[in-house]
Amino acid sequence: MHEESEKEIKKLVMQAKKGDLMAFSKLYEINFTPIYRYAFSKVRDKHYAEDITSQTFLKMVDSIEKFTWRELPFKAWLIKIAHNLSIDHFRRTTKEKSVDYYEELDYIEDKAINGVLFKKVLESLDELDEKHRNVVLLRFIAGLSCKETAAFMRISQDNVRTIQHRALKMLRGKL
Amino acid sequence: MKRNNKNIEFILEQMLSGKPKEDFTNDLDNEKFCEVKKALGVVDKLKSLASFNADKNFRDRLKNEFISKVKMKKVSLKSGKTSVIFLRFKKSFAISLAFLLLSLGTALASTNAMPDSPLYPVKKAIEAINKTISYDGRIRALKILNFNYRRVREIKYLQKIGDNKKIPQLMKEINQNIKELKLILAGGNLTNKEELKRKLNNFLKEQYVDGKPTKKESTSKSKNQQVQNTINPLSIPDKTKKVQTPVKKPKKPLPNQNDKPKNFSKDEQAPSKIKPIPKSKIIKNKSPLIKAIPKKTNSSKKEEKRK
Repeated sequence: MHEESEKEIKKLVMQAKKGDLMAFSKLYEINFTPIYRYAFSKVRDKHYAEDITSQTFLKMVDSIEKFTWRELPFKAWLIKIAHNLSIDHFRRTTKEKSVDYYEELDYIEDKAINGVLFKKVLESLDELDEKHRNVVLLRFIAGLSCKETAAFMRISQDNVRTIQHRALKMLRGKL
Repeated sequence: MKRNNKNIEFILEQMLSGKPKEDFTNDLDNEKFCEVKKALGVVDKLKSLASFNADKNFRDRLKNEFISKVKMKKVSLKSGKTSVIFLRFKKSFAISLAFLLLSLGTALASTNAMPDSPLYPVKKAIEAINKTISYDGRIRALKILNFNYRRVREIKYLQKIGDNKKIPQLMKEINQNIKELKLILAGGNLTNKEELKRKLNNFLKEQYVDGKPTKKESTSKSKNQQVQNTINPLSIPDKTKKVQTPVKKPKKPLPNQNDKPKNFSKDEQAPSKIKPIPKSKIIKNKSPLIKAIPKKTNSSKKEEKRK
């Protein structure tokens, strides 16, 4: 949807660090959907996903000054915040009754999505181990590039490609 | 096999990044091509999963919340700008503050430093800076005059401790300063020129420069002037002139207080101002003379009365 170059993002982040409202607004527009999707695919609950998304953006306002390009690209940094929040969520809700995420299908606006396929994809993702599942979610749900995924997972790009290939191979048999 | 897989992974990555298929698939054999195609099929399915969107109301609500938070932060950033800057440069700020305090302390300590003190060079350096940064002629002249007074004080101190080696240097400095002062006074555009001249003259009058007094000492000296001249380190007496030592007048012997008043003749005048000291005082003072006179007892008094 938003295919901003890294240069543009850098510029926006610099402006946001200075407190530019427009820059913040643009960064929100660019990153809202990937973060929401990532959060939803992690927690499989609409309300929790919304909660995680809002917390991610509010945290971003608080700590954008500390952000540096040395460690992670901006998008990967935001996904990392969402990832950590989802881990916290799982810690809190391990003993709670698991939510039936298929109920959330009503909220999916895209008509192209077949409910059955959606269910099947999520089920097959659950069967993958965490490393493979994370690569698939980061690459195809959150829309991170190979480089960003490598930075996020602290592994090499070659490693990301290998894991991705293996995960797709595993999913091929299930879908 | 491993190499084969690497090739497929690379091609898959290239295709995912949106590059045209023809660039990579031409070199592939059927088996590899099928594998890549299947992988891409899975990716398409996964991407269909990623095509769901969030609730629009939630999206707008969160945006408003987000923007208001940014606005709040902007306000807090503006109000606490100094503290943020301070935190950001905490280390460098602390170092510079420490350095500043240290240098200020040294500068303050050096103001009263004497030539034998290790802080004396600091004092001299501060004086030099002070002199160079004063562009106004009047202020500069006043400062130089003040420095001259300092030098005089230092010379006095050196004489006191018996270190005469540094005195010529200080003298030279004083002379240079006076020359500079005269130059400043010779220049135009000076406010209160007369006052400055008077001050310089006062200095020259009070302090003897180059071993010669610039003016004769006035007879009506103030107490301070007299004190300064008596301990003036720069005052070197002129050997060509004879020193007039005041002739001591023989003191008149004081009349013995216990002596009985004499009978003065007409030619002689009785000392009018000398009053007889009351007896009570004499007894209290207990001078040796009083001790020599035996005390009169009651019996002796009676005898005197009989006589």
